[in-house]
Amino acid sequence: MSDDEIILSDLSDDELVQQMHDDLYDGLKDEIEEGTQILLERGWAPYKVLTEALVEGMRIVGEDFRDGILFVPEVLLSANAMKAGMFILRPLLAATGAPKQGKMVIGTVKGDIHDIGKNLVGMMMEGAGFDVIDLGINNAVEKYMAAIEEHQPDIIGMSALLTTTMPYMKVVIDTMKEKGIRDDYVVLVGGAPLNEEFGKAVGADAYCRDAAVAVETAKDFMKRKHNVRN
Amino acid sequence: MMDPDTPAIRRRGGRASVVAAREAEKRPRVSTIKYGIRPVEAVTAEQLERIHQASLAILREIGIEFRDETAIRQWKEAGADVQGQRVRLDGEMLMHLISKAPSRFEMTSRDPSQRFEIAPDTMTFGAMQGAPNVRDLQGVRRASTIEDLRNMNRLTQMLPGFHIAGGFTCEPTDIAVPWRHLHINHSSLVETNMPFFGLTTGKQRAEDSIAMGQIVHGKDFMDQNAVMLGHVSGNSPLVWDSTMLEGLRAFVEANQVVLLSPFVLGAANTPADIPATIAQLNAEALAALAYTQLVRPGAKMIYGQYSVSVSMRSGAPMSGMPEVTLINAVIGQLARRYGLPWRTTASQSSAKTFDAQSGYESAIAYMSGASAGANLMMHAGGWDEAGLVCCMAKFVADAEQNLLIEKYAQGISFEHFDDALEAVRRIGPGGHYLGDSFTLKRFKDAFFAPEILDYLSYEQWKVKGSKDMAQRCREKAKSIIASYEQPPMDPAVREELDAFVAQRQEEISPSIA
Repeated sequence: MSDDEIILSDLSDDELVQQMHDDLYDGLKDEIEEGTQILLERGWAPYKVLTEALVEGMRIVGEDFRDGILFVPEVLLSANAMKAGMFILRPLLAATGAPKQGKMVIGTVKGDIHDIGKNLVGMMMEGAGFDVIDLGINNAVEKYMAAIEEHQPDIIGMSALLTTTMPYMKVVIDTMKEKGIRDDYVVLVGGAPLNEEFGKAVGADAYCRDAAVAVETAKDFMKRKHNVRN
Repeated sequence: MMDPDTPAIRRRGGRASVVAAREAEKRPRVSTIKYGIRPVEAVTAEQLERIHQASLAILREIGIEFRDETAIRQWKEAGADVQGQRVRLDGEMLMHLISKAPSRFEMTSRDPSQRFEIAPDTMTFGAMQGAPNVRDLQGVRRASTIEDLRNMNRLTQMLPGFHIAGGFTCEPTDIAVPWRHLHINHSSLVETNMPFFGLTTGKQRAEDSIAMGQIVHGKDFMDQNAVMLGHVSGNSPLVWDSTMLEGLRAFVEANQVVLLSPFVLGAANTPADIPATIAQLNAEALAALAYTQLVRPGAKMIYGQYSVSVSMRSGAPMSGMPEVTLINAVIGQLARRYGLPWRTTASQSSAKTFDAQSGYESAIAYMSGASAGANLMMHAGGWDEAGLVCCMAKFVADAEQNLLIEKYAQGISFEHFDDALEAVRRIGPGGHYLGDSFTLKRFKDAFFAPEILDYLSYEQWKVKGSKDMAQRCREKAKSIIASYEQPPMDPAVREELDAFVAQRQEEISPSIA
C-alpha cells in the first residue's frame, strides 16, 4: 500500500495538493514540509497553500476523526505534520498580510491539573491553522487576563475535568465582563463534566464536547467574525 | 512531541486506503485462540480428587442407565457390569477408555481459511442453538421461522467472533418437525461456510445431517476432517437415552466431533450441593465420554455440561448465578486433569427483554467460562429467556463480547514491555502518551476498541439519535443482513443438496403422529 516512490516535485499542482491531503492524513511531517516548499517555489501565495493544501487536508482528517475512522494518536500525527507546514508559512503569512485563521489562548482553570483533553484541543486547533498559546494547568484569572493583554487572541479556551473546578470558568468570564472586554473575545469551554447548559450558565459562547467540535466551533466563530468585519 | 527514534512513518495512501484497510480489519476471524491467562481454580487438588473419586464411586456402585440396546450390547462386550439398562463401570476401565481420546483436534470446512484447533488450551465460540422464538429486527418476540434461521446464519457468517455456526440457532417452527432437520442443515451449509452443529436427535436425523455434510464437503474429506459437531445431551440424573446415543454413533462413525453434555438443573436433577452436583455431572460425562471411545477409539469429543441452578420459588432455571461460576471452575480443573477440551455456556440469560439483567447474566457467564479456561464457549450469541428466545440484537452485542473475551483470554503479552518502559522514560512526569511513537505503533492492538458498546459523550449520543444498545444492535444486524453475500458453492453441489432435501421430504412423512 505504501508508495515511497512518489517524487513530489514531479507532480502537477493539483496532484501535489491531492498528495499533500493524503500525506497529512498519513501524518507525514517531512513530506508536508517539502510539499509546502514546492508550492511556494511555484509561486503559490502562502495563504493559498495554507487553505487549499493544509487546512483542507486537516478538514478531511477532522471529519474521519469525528466518524471514528481515525484515532487520536493518528490525528496528533497529522496535526504535527500540519504544524510543520504552518511553521514555514507563518512568517510569510504575516509578511503578506494574509487573513489569519485566528489566535487562541487556552488553559485548564485554577485548581485543576488535568490537561490531556486541553492539549488535544490545542493540537487540533494548531492543526487547523490557529495560533495557540497554551497556558498549561491551574490558571488563576490573572493569568488569563495577562495572556489576553499580551497576545490579543480571538478565542479564549477554558478546560476542567473536576466538578469542583469547573465553576471557576464563571470567575474568569465575570472578570472579563467587569473589565468590559467580554464581548471582544469568543469564549469556548470544555471538559468531561461540562454540558451545554453549563456553558450557557457561566456565560461562555459555546461548550465544545470534544476536540473536533472545538475546531469546528472555533472556525465557525471566526467566519462570523470576519463577516461582521468585512 | 515526537521522540528522535520515531520509526519512519510511511505513506499508506491517505484517506481512501485507510478507510478500506479499516473495513478489511473487520473481516471474520477464524483462527485458533490460545489461552494466555491462568485459569481460576475453585478447589484444591485434594478436593478435586475427592470429587473425581466420588464420580468413580457413583459409576461403580450406583451405575448409570444407557437406555439403548446397541450401547448395552457394546458395554457387555467390553466387560462392564450390566444389569438391564444399568451399567456399572469400574474406574480403571473407564479412564482407560477416556485416555484413547485426542486432547486436541482441528475443525475446518469447505473454506480452507476456516481452520482452528479445539484443545485444553484454546478457546472457540459457537452461536446459540435451540430457541423456538426470536426477538426480531423490530424487537418483537414471536415464534421463529426458517427465514429467521437463515438470517441468524447470515449474521453468524458475517460477524467476526464466531467459529461455529449454531445449526438450529432458532427453530424453523414453520416447517414440519420431521422435515425440520433437513432445512436446518441446508441453511447451515448454504448461508455459512463454517463448521456447524448438525442435528443429533435420532438416528435418521443424524444420518441425514452427516449425508448433507458429505454432499457439500465430500465423504473422503469428512473421513479426514472434522467439519460438524453433534450435541449429545444427557438426562440427568444418570441417564443417556437412545435418541441421543444414536446421534452420537452416527457422528462418531463419520469422524465428526461430539459434545457430551449432562444437563444440570442444580437442586432439581442434582443434589442441592455444589461438589455433589459436580460429582454426579462428572460421572455422567465420564460415562458418555468412555462410551464414545468404545464406539470409535480416538473419536474427537468434548467434555460437555450445561449447568444452571433452579429457582426454588418457581422451578425455573437461573443464569449468571455464583454456583454456576464455581461449577465452571471445577469442571475446568477436571477436564484439564483428563486432558480433554470442555465446553461452557457463554452467554446465558433469563431476561425477557435485552435489558440490564440480560447484560449482567451474560457478562458473568462469559467471564465465568473464560476465567475457568473453557475451550468451547457455546451459545455465545443471542441467548435470552433461558434459551427460549434468540434475540437478534443481543446476538450482535454478544459477537462483540466474544472478541472482547478473546482478548481477555489471550492474557498479557510482554513482547513490547521493554519498548513501552522506554516510553515512560521519554514522557516523564506530567506529560501524555497520545502522540508518543510507542502509542502510535501500538494503540490499535494494545486496547480493545468496541463498536457496539457506546463511549460517546452524552451530547454526541443525543446527536446520533439517543439510541439504546438494543436499537443500535438491531440497526447493525439489519445492515449486516443487507450487505450479506452467500459464500460460494459449486452449483452442481447445491443442486445435489437441494435434491437430497426434496427426496427426503418425499420419503419422510411430515406427520409426527
